[in-house]
Amino acid sequence: MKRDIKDLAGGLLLLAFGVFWAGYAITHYNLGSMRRMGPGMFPAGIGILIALMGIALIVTSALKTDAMPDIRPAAALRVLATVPAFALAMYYLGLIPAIGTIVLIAWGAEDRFRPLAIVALWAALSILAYTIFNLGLGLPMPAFRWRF
Amino acid sequence: MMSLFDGIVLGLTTALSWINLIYCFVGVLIGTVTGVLPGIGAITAISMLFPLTYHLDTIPALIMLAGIWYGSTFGGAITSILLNMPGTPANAVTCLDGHPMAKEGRPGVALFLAIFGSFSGGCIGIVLIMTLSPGIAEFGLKFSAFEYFALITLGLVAATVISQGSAIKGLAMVMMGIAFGTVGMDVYTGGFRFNFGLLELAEGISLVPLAMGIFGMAELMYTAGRSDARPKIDGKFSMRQMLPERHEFRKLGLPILRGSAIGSFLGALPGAGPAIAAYMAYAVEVRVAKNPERFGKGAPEGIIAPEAANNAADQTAFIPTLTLGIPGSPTMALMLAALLVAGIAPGPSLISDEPELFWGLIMSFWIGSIFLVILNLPLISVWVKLLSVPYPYLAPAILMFLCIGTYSVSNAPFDLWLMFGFGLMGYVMRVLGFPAAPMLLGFVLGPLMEEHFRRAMLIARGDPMVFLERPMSATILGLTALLLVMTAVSTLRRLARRKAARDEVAQ
Repeated sequence: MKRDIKDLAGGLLLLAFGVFWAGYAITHYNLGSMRRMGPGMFPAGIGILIALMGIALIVTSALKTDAMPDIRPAAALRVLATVPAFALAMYYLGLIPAIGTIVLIAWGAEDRFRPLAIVALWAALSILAYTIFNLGLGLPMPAFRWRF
Repeated sequence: MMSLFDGIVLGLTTALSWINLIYCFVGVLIGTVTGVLPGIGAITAISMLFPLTYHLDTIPALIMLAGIWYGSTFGGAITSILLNMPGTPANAVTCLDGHPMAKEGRPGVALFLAIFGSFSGGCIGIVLIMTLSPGIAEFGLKFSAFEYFALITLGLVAATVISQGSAIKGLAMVMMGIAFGTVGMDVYTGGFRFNFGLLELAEGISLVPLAMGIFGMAELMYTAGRSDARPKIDGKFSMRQMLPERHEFRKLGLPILRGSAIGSFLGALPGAGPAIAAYMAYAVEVRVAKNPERFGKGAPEGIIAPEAANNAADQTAFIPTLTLGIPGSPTMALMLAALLVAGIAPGPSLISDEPELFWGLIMSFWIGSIFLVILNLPLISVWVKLLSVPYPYLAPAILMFLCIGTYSVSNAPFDLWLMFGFGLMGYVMRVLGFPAAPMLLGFVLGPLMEEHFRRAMLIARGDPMVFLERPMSATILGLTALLLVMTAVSTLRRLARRKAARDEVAQ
């Protein structure tokens, strides 16, 4: 049978999330009464509604088909990877090396390796960031540090 | 109550201070840049700069964020006209006549019309905020928890079902936003919810990593690896080439007025917003034209009316946010959140409690609009050049602002991990065709909704029928139900039609 795979997957994810959210609220927090609601009542209701939306999506997914979009997961993951890389580099090495890791990783998602362009971009962004965030806003982000 | 005149004087003295002038300029400048660059919308830019609200005074921060919002719609027309690619969704209609006119060898005139329409529409929108807001706020003072709950529900439902795409997916995203909004301390009992033992989540999920994850990160992840060469454009315009001919000039008054009226009305309603306003204004122009076949081939009204409409809508969108504390779009939800960060309670008493903020912000819109004309008319060649910056340079720069912005909120890596998670979630949502905007709206309005609902239930002694016994809340909830039923009917009809079509093919 043909189905809309996107809607089916989305519906299943919603159903799982809704059941988890409502279940967690019911088992961990006091529901209270309608008159004096406890902390669990509202989240439990929302969780149930999300699960219902998931079911609605699963049901309607059987009625139509839709093509999967053209996706490039490798490049997408590369972009996503800049975030933990930045977090680690920021913690151990400071702002300027952290900017370097972003440039290095993100560049590879778009273009072939061009060392000169990468270094120039790193330098330009470092100056920009240091001027705005350290000099301009006075945020405590050291340009370099060694935290091993 | 302050008179309009006092308000204007107070607003001008606030908005004309050096610091506010500078932030207004920075705001509209960033707005123009994000408008010109396709793919980065106002909401990405505002969430990127939202962390600044923690470090700046409230008034300059809001003036800047607002400048990004209306500046991006202003600048987005440039890309629509020159590249036939909408700079922001609100400028999509401007491509229809703007690009043909540019191809005919009159790109300067098309740009001038867009700028002129944007400025006029914006001005009319600002006049409406100034004259209507105090009255609406006074009316809003009569609202109780019942009416607020009803209004928030209407706003969330309308914002979701009116926008294009699947209504089920939109509603599901609103609810996901509300669910994430319940994380953190429960205001009534002081207990923690859904923090999974993490101290960092005790105060709730912060807005910045959520917004940056589902908008900025998800967008960059989705566009990654597609940096195909953009078309080249010739970028030299003199002021002389930009002026339309005199006989064209005379016919522009009515389209501007019609566009601004449509834009002002739709901008103030929840869910409609500038993109729909521009579309409607264009449709009306085609309808009233004597010879509609001119449209799509460079008709001046086809540029000026939608641009007047989307800029007027940008301005009037502030009315429900500033007078009732109920934002109609995710961008306005960010404005509301900026107020909350500063410890200001948004609602009908905002205008009388914080007159300096309200009038200063409104008067800054005038100044910002003038800045935008200056930025766009003589400096047009700069923006045209910006369009030729290659994407490999742009992506790391945006990522850097996302990471530093998120890190700077609490100067700790925890929010970066949250942004990582929401980025991944936003990407999966995008691939599966779920809209991100309703989730942000739900996230900001969810806690308010819960608070009003629980308060209403306390007052009503747990009887939900009270919502229907009060005429105001009953009317609003009735409207909400009507919207839902209408959407359900049209969705089912569409599905049935598709199934019928498919069965035919199968036979």
